[in-house]
Amino acid sequence: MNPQPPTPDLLRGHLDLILLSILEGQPLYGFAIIQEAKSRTGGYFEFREGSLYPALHRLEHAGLLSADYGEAGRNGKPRKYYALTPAGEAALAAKRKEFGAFTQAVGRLGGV
Amino acid sequence: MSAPAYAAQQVAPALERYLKRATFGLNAERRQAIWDELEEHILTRQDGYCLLGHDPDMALRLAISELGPALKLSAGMNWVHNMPKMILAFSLTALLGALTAVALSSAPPLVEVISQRPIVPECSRLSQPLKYDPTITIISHHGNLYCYTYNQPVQYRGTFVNIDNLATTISGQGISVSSQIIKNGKKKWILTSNNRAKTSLIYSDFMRDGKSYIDLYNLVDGLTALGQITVTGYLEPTIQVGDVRFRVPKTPAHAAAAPLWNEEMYDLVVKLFRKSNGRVAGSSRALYRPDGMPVHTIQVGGQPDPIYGLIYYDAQEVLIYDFNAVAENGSVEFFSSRQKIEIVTDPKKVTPYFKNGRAQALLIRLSGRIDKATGAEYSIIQPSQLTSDAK
Repeated sequence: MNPQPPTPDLLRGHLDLILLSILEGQPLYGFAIIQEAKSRTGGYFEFREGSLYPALHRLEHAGLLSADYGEAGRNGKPRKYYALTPAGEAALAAKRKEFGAFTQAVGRLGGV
Repeated sequence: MSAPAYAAQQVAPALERYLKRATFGLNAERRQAIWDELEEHILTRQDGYCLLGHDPDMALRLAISELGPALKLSAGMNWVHNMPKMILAFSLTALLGALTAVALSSAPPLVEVISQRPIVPECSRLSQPLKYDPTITIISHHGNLYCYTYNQPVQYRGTFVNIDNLATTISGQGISVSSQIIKNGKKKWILTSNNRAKTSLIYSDFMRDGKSYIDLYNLVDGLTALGQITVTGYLEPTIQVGDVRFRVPKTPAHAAAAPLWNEEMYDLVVKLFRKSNGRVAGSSRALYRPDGMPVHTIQVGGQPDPIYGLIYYDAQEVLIYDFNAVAENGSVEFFSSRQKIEIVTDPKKVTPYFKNGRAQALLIRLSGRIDKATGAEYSIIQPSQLTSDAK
């Protein structure tokens, strides 16, 4: 049986970590990020698509992602690819450490 | 990084309307870049639905619904890009999402409407702590995740139709209506015209007290799939599609049809002037009267009721429009930031520059007919009064 999908609160709380993880080592455009999240987690992560783009723009605005235009998309205009910046890589490492410590602590409580 | 420039290309009206709303309030360059990004997403998603066997129109609607409410997307984008200017961006965004209360009853029946959407906190994660902003109230925050509401009720104002009530009324007029629960508990209504074998899909924008509501503009947009729409009246408009007719009751704060015409005017100005998105803006007449803005009174004659629009450039070279119904005395009032205007009949003569000390403006008349493919039907008017000095 597939696990229950994460609640919106849980997903929102870890959205940055998820997006930075997906983009680690491979620039992707918005639609492909959603597909990647689904395929790499067996459908566990199913974003509300409308929340993806503000999040990507926020991370870009914060300097954690850079963006560049690639091949023409379905509307004939270049697709916008997002990639981790060095600051994004550092943020990802920090968020992973923070998340690891949190899940270990929950595990020690016997909850996992 | 800046977005590349592209040649304009045709997009489906439903897609264009969604993108227009989803990118509202952003500056022109950013708006175009985000427009293109979202458009590419929706078209790719549409292809996927087509492969699953949906027809292109249905596939497009499903693809758009996957992105969620345009206003919410717009709010997220404005929060990221326009935080210092949120009040302007959101008053205009909310203006675009206007709704009232409709109640179908006799001939034509009134439908049940409300004129204020629920004040629901928006949540956004910021890259740095939020400074004091008098336009919003912070409801909660955890780290840099802020949930807030807007302080001005006008930002939640509009014309919103009770869909269940509407469906019941329309069902009695030769249209079959069914509803389905889609994912996340959201509901959609399928309206099928018995005689024309045409189908329309509408989706609720929000729920209040267990009832589903859709804004009037989105409703009319959905109904155009069933045939040409005719809207008569301004304060209490009657909407007709095929044999189906219903009336939208008066609302206390604004003309019930104003939010609808605000959207249609926007589409028309974009089409007429071939302007890129973000270089067109409406006045705030649709929802409230701005204080201190000059008013032009132009005699157009004829019966009260038809809607007229005035289009001109402001000092920032943005195309501005206002619209209003004709008064009993045959005149129509427009707000304009330009004190002196000259009315021209060729859109090419409307420029950002003064001629003989006057700004050029285009006067148009809306017939009330709205077509799915071509939008609102209009004609360019040359009144006997060719100039106007605002009071």
